[in-house]
Amino acid sequence: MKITSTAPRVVALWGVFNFVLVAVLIGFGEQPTVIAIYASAAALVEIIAVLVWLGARRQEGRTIWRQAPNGDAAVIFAAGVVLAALGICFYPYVALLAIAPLGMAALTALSDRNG
Amino acid sequence: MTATRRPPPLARPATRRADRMEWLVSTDHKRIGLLTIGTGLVLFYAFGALAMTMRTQLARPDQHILTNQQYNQIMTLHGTGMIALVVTPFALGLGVYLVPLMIGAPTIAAPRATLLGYWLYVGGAIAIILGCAVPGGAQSGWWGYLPLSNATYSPGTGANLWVTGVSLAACGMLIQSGTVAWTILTRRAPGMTMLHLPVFVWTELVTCFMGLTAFPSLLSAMGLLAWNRVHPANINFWNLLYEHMFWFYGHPVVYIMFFPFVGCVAEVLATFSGRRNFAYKSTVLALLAFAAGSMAVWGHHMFTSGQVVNDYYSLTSNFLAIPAGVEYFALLGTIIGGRLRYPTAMLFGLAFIPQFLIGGLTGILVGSPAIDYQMNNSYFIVGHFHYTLLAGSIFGLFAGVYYWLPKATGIMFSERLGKLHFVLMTIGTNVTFLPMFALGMLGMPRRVATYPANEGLNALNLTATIGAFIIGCSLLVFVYNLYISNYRKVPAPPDPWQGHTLEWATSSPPPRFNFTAEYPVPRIRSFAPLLDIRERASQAAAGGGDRAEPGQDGAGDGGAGHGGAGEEAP
Amino acid sequence: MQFQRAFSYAFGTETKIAEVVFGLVLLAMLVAFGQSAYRRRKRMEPSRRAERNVLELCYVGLLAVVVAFDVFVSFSANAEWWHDPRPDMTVRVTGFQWCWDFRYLGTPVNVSARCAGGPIPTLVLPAGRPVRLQITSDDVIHGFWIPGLRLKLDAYPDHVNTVSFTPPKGDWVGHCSQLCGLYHSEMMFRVRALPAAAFDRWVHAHGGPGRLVSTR
Repeated sequence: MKITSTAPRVVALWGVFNFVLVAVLIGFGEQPTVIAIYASAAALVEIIAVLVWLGARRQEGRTIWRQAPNGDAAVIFAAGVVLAALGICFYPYVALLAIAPLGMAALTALSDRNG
Repeated sequence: MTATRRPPPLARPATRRADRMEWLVSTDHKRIGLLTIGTGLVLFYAFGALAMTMRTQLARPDQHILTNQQYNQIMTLHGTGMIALVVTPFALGLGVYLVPLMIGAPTIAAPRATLLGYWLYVGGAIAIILGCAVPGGAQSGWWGYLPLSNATYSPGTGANLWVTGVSLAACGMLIQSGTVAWTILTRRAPGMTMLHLPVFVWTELVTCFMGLTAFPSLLSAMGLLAWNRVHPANINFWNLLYEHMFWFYGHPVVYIMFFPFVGCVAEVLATFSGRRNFAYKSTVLALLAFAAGSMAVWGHHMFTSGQVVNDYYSLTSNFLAIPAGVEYFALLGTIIGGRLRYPTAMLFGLAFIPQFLIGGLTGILVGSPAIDYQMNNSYFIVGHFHYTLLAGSIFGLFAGVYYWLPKATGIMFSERLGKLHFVLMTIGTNVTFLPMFALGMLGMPRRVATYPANEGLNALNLTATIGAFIIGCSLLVFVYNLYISNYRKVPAPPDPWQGHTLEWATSSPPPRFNFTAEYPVPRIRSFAPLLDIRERASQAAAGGGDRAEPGQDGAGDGGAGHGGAGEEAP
Repeated sequence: MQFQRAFSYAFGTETKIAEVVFGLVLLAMLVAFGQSAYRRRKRMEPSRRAERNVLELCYVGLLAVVVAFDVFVSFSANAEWWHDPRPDMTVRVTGFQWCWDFRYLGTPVNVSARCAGGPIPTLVLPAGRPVRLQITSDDVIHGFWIPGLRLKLDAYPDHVNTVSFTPPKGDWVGHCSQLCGLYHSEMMFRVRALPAAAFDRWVHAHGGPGRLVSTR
């Protein structure tokens, strides 16, 4: 049995559970905007199920994974995002300072990929 | 059957500053998990201290130790902090650490994204805490209803920082939900079918499902709130929409803060009963149904708004009792028929059962609108959710901590101090939160900085405050345990507890890629692979050819390619 | 009075069920401890039986019955709570930061106060007569809560929540139940239900017509 065929089905099943609950919500006559919130979340689950199915197919049979290099790029990227967010709170143009770390993060990530 | 030969003491390696820096940029899921949990633990103490400050203010009526503004700010920070910055990161951090080990994988999927998730969480914490240091610190509660939280009624940068911080932390946890789920779904070792996943891993999976659907809703709510802070507009449609979007996140988040900890309890109960988890398949189905149901109940926070279809949310809220009941059946079925051992982890796990039940049953009560109209926004609700979160989930967390800390650190912790922590914390928790049900019945609203002296609330409030300080003492005992055990450094063997799951098959702490030639992934025949190996060994020793007992979940769901007859070479 | 009846019915029934459930779980735990001690004494291995499907199906069936009953209780109590008698009069209740305003519709009578360290307003109602409350807010969301009457409804700006009921004779205190800012804990009020004749005298004394609810 393929180890990865059940996984997308589990996700899809969970999405179906949610769609059933959406249907009952419609039956009780909740407002359309609210139904849209829940229905879109359930739809998101089904999209994830498809992504899992595609991803699992690509990885089928693989037992050796590419070793991740260190996480420098991720940390620099996080610093950039946090700086941008704090900047927006205080004075929007401060957020522009975040361009530097975000750029650095991109360069680091690219060099990790190639190196 | 305890190990009588201890491994030689670990040589303490020289720590260089570079080593410490390595931790902060590591792509080792174990380090990222420990960072997440460790940061959560530090913040747990910080926001717990805030709670003790609130309880000091509320110990006696008509006190003004804190101004109303300070109280509202502390109350907001305690709520937001505990939910977004402590227990949710605990829940996902446990998954980041344990899931790859338990499924026999060498790493987590997308380690750099997982690390990014951690640092976004830290950035969120910084923003939220910074919000208290600037004018207009957030004081609209952790739910921040519009229009109170918009720029007209809550001006100032502080509230902006709150919105930003909550959003950053949510992004971080959303990413970790994704990577943990992806790992469970696509990185399992051969033989680790979905129905061979340990119960804890299933609880993490449904937690991630809820995270992936709930955090985007929170981000939308924060977006709406951010817009309202830039362009304030008091329109009922938006006010109600904010509530819907917030609670569509706000209810699943409390289950995100529950499922991994009931998973901890399940693992601990199974190990220390000496038998596998009872009713496994029903537990799996119940977890999926429970998680789906928990996406459908959010309107029960809005019963008193008069603008939602109360009966639907009451129906779904009551429905949750069915999967919850199945899970309790499984927990009780695990310990009944076992030979129980009582280390600290087991004590916390056992206490979880009745304590969470109090929270759950009072939850069913307020799932009925006619009851909730009276109890909503009163201290009854405060008692209810502290029973589920503190007396339930945090007790489950400590069960997991005492259970897995030797694996993660390679050292054993003091049982005497652990049991002292347990006794104090159990007493403190119940003394603090049991009176709150009575306070709610007597008509004390929540989120109040003080209360009048003539409403009969005084003695109960004082009792609750005393209990809070007992909890504080118990947590000091825990910190001392960490310190003294780190000093004594009694080494932990790979499997100090005779565990059932794969993480106990590798060293303590595990090597960089979890399993090596020296500690390979063992044969996986069920969700309790190590127990299977021990049971087969003892059956073989007793005289080969013994038939398996009826009802034993042996080779699992068939088609796994591992037939029951004959051993294959590992 | 319907709020108290609905609450007592739902709370009383469901609490009894909850107590039984709690007791059964404690009992199960005691059985576990007892069995474990027995196995330890007799040097027996833990049981290897990992499922009991028939027992479990019966148990789930029982749970479903109890939950269905709970839902029935919830629905019927909720329906009773919202049972609206036709009102004799209407009061517009407006919450604002940080006190309450009661306007008796169809009359010039208006009761208001500042709260926050000063006097709190009293909502005077006719005992034994159906009244309607229209609950709204001037600014942020407040909560209109009379614990002694088991009545709570949130007060939204730009929206009116309406409820009708027949108050018994009595005096109660009221709180704001939705965090609304700095003086949320001080935002209290009183409710007093007087006999019809006394109520009409009160209305007249506050600028209203001579007879509002009394019949000739």
